[in-house]
Amino acid sequence: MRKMRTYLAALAILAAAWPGLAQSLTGSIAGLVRDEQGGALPGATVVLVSKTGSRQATTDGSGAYRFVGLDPGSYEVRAELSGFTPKGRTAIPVSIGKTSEIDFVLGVGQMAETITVTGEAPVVDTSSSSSDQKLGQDLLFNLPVRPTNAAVGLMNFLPGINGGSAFGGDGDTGNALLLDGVDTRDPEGGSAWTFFNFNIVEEVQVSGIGAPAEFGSFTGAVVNTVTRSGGNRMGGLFDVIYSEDSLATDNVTPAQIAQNPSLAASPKLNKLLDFTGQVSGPLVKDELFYFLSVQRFERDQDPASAITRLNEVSPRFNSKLTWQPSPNDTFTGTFQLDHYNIIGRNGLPAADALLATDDLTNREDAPEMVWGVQWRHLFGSRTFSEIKYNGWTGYFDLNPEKNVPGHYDASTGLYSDSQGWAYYADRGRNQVNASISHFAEGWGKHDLKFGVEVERSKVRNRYGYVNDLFYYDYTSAYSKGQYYAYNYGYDVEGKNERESVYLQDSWKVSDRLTLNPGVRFDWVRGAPSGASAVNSDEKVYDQKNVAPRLGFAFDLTGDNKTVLRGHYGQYYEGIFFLAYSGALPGIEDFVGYDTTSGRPIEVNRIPAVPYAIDPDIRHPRTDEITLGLERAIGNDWRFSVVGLMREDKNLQGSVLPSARWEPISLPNALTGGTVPGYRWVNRAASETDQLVTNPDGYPILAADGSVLGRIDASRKYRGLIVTLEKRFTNRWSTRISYVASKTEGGADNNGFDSYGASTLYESATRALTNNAGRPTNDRPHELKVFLTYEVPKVDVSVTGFWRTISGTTYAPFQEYSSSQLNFPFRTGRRIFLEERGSRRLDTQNQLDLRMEKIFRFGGGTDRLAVFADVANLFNSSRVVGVQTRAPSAAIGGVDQPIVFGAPTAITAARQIQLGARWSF
Amino acid sequence: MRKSLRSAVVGALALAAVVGPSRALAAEPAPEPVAVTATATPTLAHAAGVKAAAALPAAALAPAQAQASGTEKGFFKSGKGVAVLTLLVAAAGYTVYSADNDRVKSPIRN
Repeated sequence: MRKMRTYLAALAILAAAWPGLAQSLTGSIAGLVRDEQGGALPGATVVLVSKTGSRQATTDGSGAYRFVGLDPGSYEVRAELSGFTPKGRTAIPVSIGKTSEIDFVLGVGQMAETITVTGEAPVVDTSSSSSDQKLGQDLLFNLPVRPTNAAVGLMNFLPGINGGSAFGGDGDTGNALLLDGVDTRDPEGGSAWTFFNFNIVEEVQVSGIGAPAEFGSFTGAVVNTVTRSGGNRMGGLFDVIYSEDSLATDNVTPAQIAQNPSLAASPKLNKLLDFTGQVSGPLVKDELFYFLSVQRFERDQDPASAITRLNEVSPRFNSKLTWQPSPNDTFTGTFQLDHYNIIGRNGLPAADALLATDDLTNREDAPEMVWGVQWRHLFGSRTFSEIKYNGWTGYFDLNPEKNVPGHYDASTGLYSDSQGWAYYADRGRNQVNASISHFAEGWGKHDLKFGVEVERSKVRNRYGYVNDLFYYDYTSAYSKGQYYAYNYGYDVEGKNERESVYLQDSWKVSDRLTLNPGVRFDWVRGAPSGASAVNSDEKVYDQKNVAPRLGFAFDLTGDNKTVLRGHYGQYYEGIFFLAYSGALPGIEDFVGYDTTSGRPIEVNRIPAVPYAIDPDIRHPRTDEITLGLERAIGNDWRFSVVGLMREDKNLQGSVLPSARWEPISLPNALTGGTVPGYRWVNRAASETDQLVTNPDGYPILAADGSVLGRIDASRKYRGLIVTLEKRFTNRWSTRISYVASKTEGGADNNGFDSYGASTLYESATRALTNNAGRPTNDRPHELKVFLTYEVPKVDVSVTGFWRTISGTTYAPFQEYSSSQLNFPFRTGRRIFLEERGSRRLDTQNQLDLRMEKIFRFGGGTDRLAVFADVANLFNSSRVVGVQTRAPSAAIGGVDQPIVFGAPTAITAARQIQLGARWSF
Repeated sequence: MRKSLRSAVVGALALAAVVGPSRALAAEPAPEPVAVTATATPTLAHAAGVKAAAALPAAALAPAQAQASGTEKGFFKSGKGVAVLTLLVAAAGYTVYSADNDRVKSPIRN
């Protein structure tokens, strides 16, 4: 309680010390106004025009002007001074956190009838040390085969990010997903929660390489999605996309079917119907604007695996109100209501997901509400502040398609009858972000930013088995049926708390050199709540993290065309429920039953003892060093190269401190040889001594206390990213990127591998045998090419997205019995027979295409686009998943065993999607 | 009933998608084209005095925005506005209908 009072007092002092607090999700336009001899022109009027009106500034004694707090988008600027001919610039792009440098040179002349306007666009920010990528309207509108989940799908179009894994980081869970500047992730483990309409996106900026101090709570990338809003101009968008199975082509080969008959039906969309209606405009000119959007998304497909039906329906409603009561104040309110419904969601654990059949799926019911308000205030042309409040509430329930107990045959790997469990997830999140930005002069020029973030989120997870039993069928030993079943469940509830403070500077030491120092402080805590709370003030997880950042940007040629960038930074992960949920009460005993008689008879019970959390545990983070060069070539081209080194530190997991192990040899079903293993020799005496810690380097001990080995829970990434871009001029644009990288370590990066209690490192065999290697999302080579060309005369634009990406890695595993390892849980008995990631799926070579014909009318303001998307144009039948259990596994309905390495999933077949979009 | 309603709404949407813009084109007076675009290169001239531009810069540098904003009050009474409203109501109506009828209901929720 005392801590809380101290904390509140500190916040109050901070609030009083700063006239306004806001977190920036904006950019700036700044520059100099000079005469033809290079002399500064003080007192010149500079006018900024945006879709919501205009602003005016006057140049200072050095001829400098600045517009701060600008939403991402396109702007126009003009400069004028008595006795000089005015000039203007149009189509100036403003991106999040970037300053567009626009200088004017005014010639002596009449200031009367005309102004000179140019469309040249700046493409290099020479003051920022971060290397960001963005998807603006130009690319978003031309994307062939838009992703079904915009929240996470869009970032995979960018270099260095595949399968949600950004620069070697944990897939999906390592990325901060910001919607209008506020994190909307699932507070349980950081995966995407808020799924929104692709068509409400104004711009997506993906940061992470050299990100400044205002960005935290990530170890992969920051995906900043800014949504559309209304303006003075009446706007609208109506968009329909449709496809069905008759528009698809079979792609599975006879050889693949021979290896796995369950893949006989090619993966395709049986039906896709996605429509959006939007309208926006002014309620009061220059003052009050609205934006309304409605979408219904429906997809029914035959997925790439043995499952034959996956149906999703999502109705989504969005609204935004923007109020500018004065030129210096902007208030925004947003609201989203959506309801995600799925039939046929895969119900098996990730390692076995490709063995699932329709009986093993579940139905998902997932509604949510998302809301937000923000106030932006300008204190003149040098200072502005923002305050944002955002929250959401929702749940997702997974109920089994067949409400009967599930079975698993440990002899064959066959799952049958049902997934056998139900899961209910309740979530809520509230977050306040506030910051103030100030441009100052003294020892150079400073663009200072100070911010505060406060997060309160809650998680409740409930899990249980149908009829309180899940069956194990050891058919090799008990041919008449299963002999064993087990049961456990949980109802666990917790709350995450986070306060973050950051301070950063963009210090222009000279005309060419900018330093970017910054520091971020995160105080994160986890505590039980609801049914799990014994003492509501008890914090089972409490970490204070200080993350320094230091970067530079040097204008090599002195003309804002070439910049050399370097940066060092530490990035701490957000606070997630998984970090401490194992330490909460609410988990039931694990009870085993002998069912040979037909009636379950209890034979063993593992008491549900909450995990202890290491008092010296450290919060996961990544340390990053980058060095890059960016060069504008002419007015249209941009070339960049970035070298990147990352090291993930403090990854978390659970261990058994009192356990002792005996080295043994295990049979290797793949080679006929052996593989080293470890048998738990003091299980009864040590199985309730469980600790959540940072397992990297943790010793595995023999019975005599000697060290058998140490856990490798590390992950490192090295990458080189080369990008060449041309903006849309002369009827074409392109973005070509190539990434060479290497990710290695003993921790995977395929989701939820960095946190909390698991059995991955508790089993000595799992922890020490072949654990280190290449994680799933190690992609040594990646080439992505966007190319848009507008065919003359017919006005048909063609956009292609080609990617050549190294396949994901895998390694064979063998599942040993409890009697061999004396280890109770299946995940800890699945041992790699070769080092992690020893094998790799085939390289992905795929081309998606969009052909679009645009009809302009209404004087050019209305566009009717009719388009056809072709996914997988060359109808590749690339294997995207293989059976990794050695020597084989069984799939329901298939008589033959599916041997190790046989395909379990094929890439989606070539399919045409037809669409139309009317926009104005 | 459900199927016929769905078919009717889908049919209306399809019809509106095809016919709506054409009607809007006929009904809406065509605004002047935007003279300056992102692809424009040097020295395009706007007929706008500097003083006037300083006072009302939107009129000087964003003719499309300024012009459109001058017609907002009557937008929803125009042919284009009626088409927009029709489409939006149809889309929202079907989506609301779908939100209720296509829901996967979890047995533990009301």
